[in-house]
Amino acid sequence: MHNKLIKFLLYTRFSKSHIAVTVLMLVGCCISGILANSVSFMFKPILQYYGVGITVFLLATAILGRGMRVMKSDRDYLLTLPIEKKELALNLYLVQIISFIFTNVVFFGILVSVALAIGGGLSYILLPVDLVALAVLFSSLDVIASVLSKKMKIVLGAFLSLWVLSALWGVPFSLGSIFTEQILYGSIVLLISAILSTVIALKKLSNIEFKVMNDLIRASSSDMEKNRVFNGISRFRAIFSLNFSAVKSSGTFSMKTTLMDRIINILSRPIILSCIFALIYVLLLPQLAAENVNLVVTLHLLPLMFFITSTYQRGLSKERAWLSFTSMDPMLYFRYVSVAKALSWFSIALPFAIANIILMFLGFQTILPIISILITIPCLTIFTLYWGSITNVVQLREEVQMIQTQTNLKQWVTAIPYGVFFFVYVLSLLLPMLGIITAFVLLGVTLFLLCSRYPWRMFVEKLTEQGFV
Amino acid sequence: MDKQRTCIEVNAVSKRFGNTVALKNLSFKIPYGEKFALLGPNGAGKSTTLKLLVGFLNPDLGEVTIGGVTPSSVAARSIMGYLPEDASPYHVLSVRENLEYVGTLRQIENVKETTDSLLDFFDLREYEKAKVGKLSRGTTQKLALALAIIHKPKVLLLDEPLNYLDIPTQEKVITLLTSLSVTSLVSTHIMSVASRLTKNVIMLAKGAVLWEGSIDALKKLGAAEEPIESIVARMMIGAQ
Repeated sequence: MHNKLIKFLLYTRFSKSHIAVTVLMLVGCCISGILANSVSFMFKPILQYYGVGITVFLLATAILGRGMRVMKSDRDYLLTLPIEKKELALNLYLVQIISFIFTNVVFFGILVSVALAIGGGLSYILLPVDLVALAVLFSSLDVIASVLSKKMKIVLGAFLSLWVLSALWGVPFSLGSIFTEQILYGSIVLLISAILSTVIALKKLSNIEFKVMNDLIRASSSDMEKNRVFNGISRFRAIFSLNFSAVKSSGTFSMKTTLMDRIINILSRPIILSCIFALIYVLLLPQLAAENVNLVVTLHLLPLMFFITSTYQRGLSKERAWLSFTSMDPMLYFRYVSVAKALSWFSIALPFAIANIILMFLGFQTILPIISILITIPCLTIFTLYWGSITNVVQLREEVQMIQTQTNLKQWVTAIPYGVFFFVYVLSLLLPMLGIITAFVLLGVTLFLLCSRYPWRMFVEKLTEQGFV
Repeated sequence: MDKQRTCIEVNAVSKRFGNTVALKNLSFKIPYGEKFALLGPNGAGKSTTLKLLVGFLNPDLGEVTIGGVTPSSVAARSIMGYLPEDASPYHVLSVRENLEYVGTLRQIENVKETTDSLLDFFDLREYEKAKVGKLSRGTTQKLALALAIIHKPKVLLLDEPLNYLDIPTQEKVITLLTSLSVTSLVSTHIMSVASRLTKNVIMLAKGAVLWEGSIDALKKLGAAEEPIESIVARMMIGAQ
């Protein structure tokens, strides 16, 4: 093991701010768990659903992800160092495990708090161990899946997802059982899976190809089968076409496509995926948590809101301000872009709104989730863009992405609106009228922002000062 | 210079980023139809000047006008063409899509015909369906140049326009830019590029104008046979 190398990797991949925020988050979860002793029992069934759901999400991210996180600066400098490729790969793999541990704290910290609150001896000991084992499993799957074809990735992802979900039907030997009463069986299965996957991953490491994170997208879609036609349409339609991503996703325009590729491409469109998940949701939810439907949906929306907040910078990195801002009034441009992105998220979330309306007719109290989906999510998309401008957090430029653990304190600030709205939303479970009022206040604020000139003018200047233009 | 004929005017402009002073009481004027080069060492304020002229930044003090109006106005934007250093068009779009998209945003007439003529002029036809992310740096620069002139601008603001281009394309672009009846300001580090593209020079140092005049006048500042690069280097070092 090359000590200097691993120190260098840790230093370049983890910002001090990110470590501090994650530790604070964990401490906060522990304190809230100790304080919220009695309430936690009410949350327990909900968090089982949440734990299983997030595990499926992270598994899919690891399997469908882009393999070892290699940045452009790594390719230019790190990969040219006189170090054995296998050793380099091993160090990157270890760092990736640490990175997943941080991710697990962010997503599963709340479960640790419940384990503490309930004080169930076994879960108290096993859950932290399980979260580390999950990080090892995710990292190994990341490496293993990187050499698989797209079809094999989907088969592997579907198999593992079903296996995790089976815990909700009471299957004890499931990866998801670590979040249920069957935690002991779940932990045994998870540890065996982590060890096996690590053995396979270590074998693959010697032959792994280092690809800069974005190369995969570019390689899979370098030539377009059919160019989009912007000729003869209005400016708004052109911007909308470029920014409305509900029916399109990266890498779906490959020239050489088989029938199976086309089917996969159609199924991988966000709006189709959303319809499938909404259908599963409407079928499963009444059986899983009939009495706590609002809480389930709230926890379900949590990652979605987090996703909107944390990914807007990536969306901005695809912008080309030197072209768009000189082509038309930047304020008007951003107004169009914001509306297109908001409508995009609205369309992706719409199947869930329909699913909740169906549940409402079946007698469930789903009015809050419906309002949240129809108003809060699109408004939050626009508000987050504005918030990012006044807090001056944009750091990304062109296609060179950052690793999540490199985020600095300022970038974490973008999560504040998400946190505030989520907090109010959880409060509104006790006072539903508060939820409705909050949603309409957000709608009003968003409409005001869209109509104002000053915020967007300032946004342009901030982006320029940051070197974005 | 006749004020009425002034196209680009920078009047007593200061700009600061935090504690760093980027521009300090900067003033210069460029008449309609004239071509100027903006020279200066690293950190002299060339890029900041261009960003102020394009309207991306507002001056802390002073005033910037293009054709008598503020650069961020629609009127100024419609006549300006801008090429930043290391320009990068939309990576998610193909070459043709980039041209059509920007043409549509600019509301130019005959988007398709203009796109086709630019594809042919810059030898981009074979890459028209390729995504920008897969292009070489030189081909990307050709596309960026095409995007900067797609709307037939009257004012061109170019930052290192010949970067990455092969020699035949450089010659083609020099011929094109010198033949256009536009007002232009070209920021560059390379004196030979400046002298091929323009007849006049504005030299910046530490955010202020160090020297301004024609290239012929600049040559006369040195000894006989002294290369112009040597004269410029001497002036820049003297200013530091």
